Amino acid sequence: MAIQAINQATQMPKANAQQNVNFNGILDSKAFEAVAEFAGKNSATFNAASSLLMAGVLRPAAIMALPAKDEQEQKNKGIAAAHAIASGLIGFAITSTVMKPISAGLGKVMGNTEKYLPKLHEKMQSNPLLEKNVKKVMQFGPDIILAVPRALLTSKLSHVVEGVLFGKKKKAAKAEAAAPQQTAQPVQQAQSERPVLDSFKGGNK
Amino acid sequence: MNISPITSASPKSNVNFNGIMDKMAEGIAQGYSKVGNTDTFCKAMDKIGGSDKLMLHLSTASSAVTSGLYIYKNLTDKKKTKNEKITSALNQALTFGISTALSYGVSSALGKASKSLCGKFGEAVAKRGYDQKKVDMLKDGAKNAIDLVVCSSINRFVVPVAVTPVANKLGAKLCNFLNARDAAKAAKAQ
Repeated sequence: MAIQAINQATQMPKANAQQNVNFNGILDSKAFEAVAEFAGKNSATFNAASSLLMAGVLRPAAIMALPAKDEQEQKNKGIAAAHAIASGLIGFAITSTVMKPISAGLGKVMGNTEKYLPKLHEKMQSNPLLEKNVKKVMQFGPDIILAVPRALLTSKLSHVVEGVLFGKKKKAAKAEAAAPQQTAQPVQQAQSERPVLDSFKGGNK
Repeated sequence: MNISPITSASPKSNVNFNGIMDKMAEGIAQGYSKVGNTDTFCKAMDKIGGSDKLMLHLSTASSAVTSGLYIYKNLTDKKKTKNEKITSALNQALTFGISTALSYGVSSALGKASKSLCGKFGEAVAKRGYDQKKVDMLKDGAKNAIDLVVCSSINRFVVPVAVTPVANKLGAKLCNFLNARDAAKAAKAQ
């Protein structure tokens, strides 16, 4: 009985692992259909929310879970995590505000190229790759322009995030660093009050 | 590599075309129309419009601008120590470099994997007796979700996380090297 139980216990994870690797099982599941339905009905929200979740939550959590050799590495991890959170928040804000009318405008253009792009319309009709590339160039034009304010805002916000999330640790580290200096001062003062003895011992010179 | 927010905000989004949003969208469409009908744009599209890697190049250009600015801001940040400046800038540079290399190296393979999974989902959904509209909507949604897991997660999650400890170590080494060099220069000057 015990041997059978052990065999079953060792075989179960293997079977589960095979099921996990089998993507057909995931694709056939009702849960994946529910995800696909949400993503299909709310594509912009899904993309923005998933980006925010990945960059703003999972990435900083994974970065902070990495081991750190010393205090400096811990601080650098905090900076990287704060940057990830700021980048996720700014990306989400830009996608849900500035990009909405821009992508709606682009949708109008690509939906009626005869009206909006008469010079390229015929060529695009006969060449789907050209149509795809015109759309991509028009998508990335404002994106490249917006990269400047995006980077500046992310940089500013990452300081705020770092202060809010890791500020206490920094203060504590500064206090710890300052503490040994404060304790060293009275010893030096005490020594300077005894100049003869100090000079004899080779102390303060 | 930084992911373009405009590609994330799909033109097929459920935007309310009434009122202000409609006017804004129309104004932007007119702006696109003006630019898109210029001779410069048409000539440029004649030259580069046939490239099957144009999107990749544009994505790289956009990321280069963003990452370049991040690096500049990190290196000139007065609130950071020397080690923090160097490490943060290295982190950005390595993330950009590795993501770009991966995009050019394995993006087509990942794209094929994503397409294959989307195709399998399409086959599975077709057997469930839904109308064509719902099937198309589910396929679009599945493509978004699969692309997110197969492609986007590498640039947005895997590479930045994997690069962080490498940047920490390289940053510390570079900082020590620069400090030693500065100390040697100062000693010579004295």
